[in-house]
Amino acid sequence: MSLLPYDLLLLATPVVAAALVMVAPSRRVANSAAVAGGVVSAVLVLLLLSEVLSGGSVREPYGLLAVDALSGVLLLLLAIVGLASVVYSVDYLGWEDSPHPVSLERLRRYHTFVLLFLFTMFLVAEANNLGLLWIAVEGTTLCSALLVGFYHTKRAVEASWKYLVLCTVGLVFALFGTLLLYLASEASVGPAGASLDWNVLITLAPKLDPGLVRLALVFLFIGYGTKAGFAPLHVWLPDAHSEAPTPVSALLSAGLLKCAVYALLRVDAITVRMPGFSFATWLFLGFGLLSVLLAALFILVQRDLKRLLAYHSVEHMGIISIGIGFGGFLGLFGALFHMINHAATKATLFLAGGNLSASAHTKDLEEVSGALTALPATGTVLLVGGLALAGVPPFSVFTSEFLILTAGFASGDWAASALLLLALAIVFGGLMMHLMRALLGARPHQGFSTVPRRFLATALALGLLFPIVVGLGLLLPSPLSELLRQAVKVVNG
Amino acid sequence: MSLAPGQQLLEVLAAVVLVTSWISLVHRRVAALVRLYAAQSAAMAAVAGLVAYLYNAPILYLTGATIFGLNAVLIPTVLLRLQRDLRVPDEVNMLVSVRTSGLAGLGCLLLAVAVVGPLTPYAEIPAAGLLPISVTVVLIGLFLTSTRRKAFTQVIGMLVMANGVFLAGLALTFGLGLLLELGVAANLLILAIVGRLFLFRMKDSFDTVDADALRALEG
Repeated sequence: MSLLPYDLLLLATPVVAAALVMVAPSRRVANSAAVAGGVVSAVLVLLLLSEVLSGGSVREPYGLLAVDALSGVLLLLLAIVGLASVVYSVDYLGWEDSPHPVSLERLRRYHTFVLLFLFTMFLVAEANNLGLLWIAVEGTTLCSALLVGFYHTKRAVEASWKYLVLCTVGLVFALFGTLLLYLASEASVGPAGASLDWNVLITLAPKLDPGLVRLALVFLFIGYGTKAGFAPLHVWLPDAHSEAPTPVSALLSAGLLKCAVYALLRVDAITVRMPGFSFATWLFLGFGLLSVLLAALFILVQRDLKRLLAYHSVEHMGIISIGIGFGGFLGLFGALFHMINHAATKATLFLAGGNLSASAHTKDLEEVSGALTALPATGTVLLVGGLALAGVPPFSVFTSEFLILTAGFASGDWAASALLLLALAIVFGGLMMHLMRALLGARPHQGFSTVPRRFLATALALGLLFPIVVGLGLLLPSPLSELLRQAVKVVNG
Repeated sequence: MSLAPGQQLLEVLAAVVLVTSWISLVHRRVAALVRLYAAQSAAMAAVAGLVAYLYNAPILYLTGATIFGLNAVLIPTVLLRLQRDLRVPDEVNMLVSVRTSGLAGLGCLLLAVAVVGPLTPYAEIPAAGLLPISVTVVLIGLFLTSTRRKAFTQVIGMLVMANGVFLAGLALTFGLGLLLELGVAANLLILAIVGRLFLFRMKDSFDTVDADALRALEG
């Protein structure tokens, strides 16, 4: 155990950085404070993870916060995607000559909300009490809703309103489900021992009433499932992802959706300890299959690049859900690994897609062609990222999808595995059709913008993510493998 | 079976919470909806105080004070001022008729009793009898959110839903503990602030706060 409370420092860092941004006298200071917040957070996450890997878990004395390997997986992906998004924002809107410039006042507001959004997501990962977990997830909605509507256009206002209403309504259901879990604990040990403390609920799990837990799960899945983008509760997702500023789209898709699934995983860890209880498994499989199949159909007809990527998020959240549903060591390992892989790949594609739209002056893929020739670096990243997202070997997404499918066939879930394979095939075709046309076709009449732009921050952000997309499929570093193993143990016991 | 006076008063207050929700469904004036929300919240604050007294849970006095200050006074004041500033017409624009709304409210009550009524015996505390009422309030809030055209009224619907969950918290857990109660309350306040901000943006962009105008994003 270290002398410094890294878990508390991690929560304080984005808040302090946000306070600095709010009083920044210039763009340079505002950008620097935001990037410093991202860098320090990432370092603190690495320090926390090293403690977790050596000691099992870090817990503050009051029991409201704790970091174990499962939180570690979420923290890791949040740190990576958070840092990449904050850095990318500097080139995207941080300067007067950025593709989407904003006034200094609005730049301060933007960085502040992004940093507070990061704070709420870190709190989700560290919450050891299901009540606090709910508060943190609702906090993510409130911070990110303002970011989704950041551009104040009609479409952005509509998207953010829809997002705010649907997710808030959904989360009211989640809070009710949380209260029902409390009631279940009260029914098993009486009011004195009842608790929303996750560690207490884990130990009480074998005594919990299955009927009550089943009802709680229905509410929790509706609530957190809405936030996770599970079909048919996903209707806010394509709008929010497509109308938000690009770095925020990356954060929403790569970070926020994982926070909601993480909340469900915490609940799943309780239910797997209830003998003969398989209701959560069916919910994970049902929502997962519906999500991949529905997303596959929508992917075929999308023309807007960001909406296309948004429907891919629905698909991949479905794949993660199916992995959790298959369960066992392999299914869970695959699902957790897929959370990291999808986060890195999707953030890469959103950020590179942002470059493409800024240069081509459109998000409509039907209007873009020849991007690989016109923008070789961005085009290459999009091509490789697209192949990775479609599940082509040897990239990391393929590896985790392969693990999940293997878990499905090994556990005898043939029908679910076959449906997943079918959806993956449709998605592969759809994504390749859209991307290849935009990347490889002839150059368009209007051409691409040739105005020289700042690229250092963009290159750094993509340079952080791209090696993960490519490298993790070829080699899984032993600390990461160990973290994932320990995280599976946290869930499965 | 006769109930103790305190228990009877608790049931009367719970009935006030339920009836104010139901009247919200059939009322046609926006300002009246805000006042009904304030009255409902005041009744909830009284429930918290009474549960604190009856079951010797002093922390709930603070919860009651928070609910009263925030839900019964601050948020309604902000909403009424917002209605004036944005010049929101006082007529509630409904997607369904008043009669259908009223019947839906009764449907919510029957559904809540059918689904969570059987759970009441699980709880050791007598206040668990409030559970079906709290679920009814949540469902009525959901109905308000989804069947009212004005974004302004949708915000009220969400706040009514949150009241319902607060009531469930009181019924089941003697509150979630001080820190968590304050966290939930803070979230509610931020929701009201964010909602207010969006209503201004909507008015700027669409020149109306009618959510029906939001139809550009489909597919």
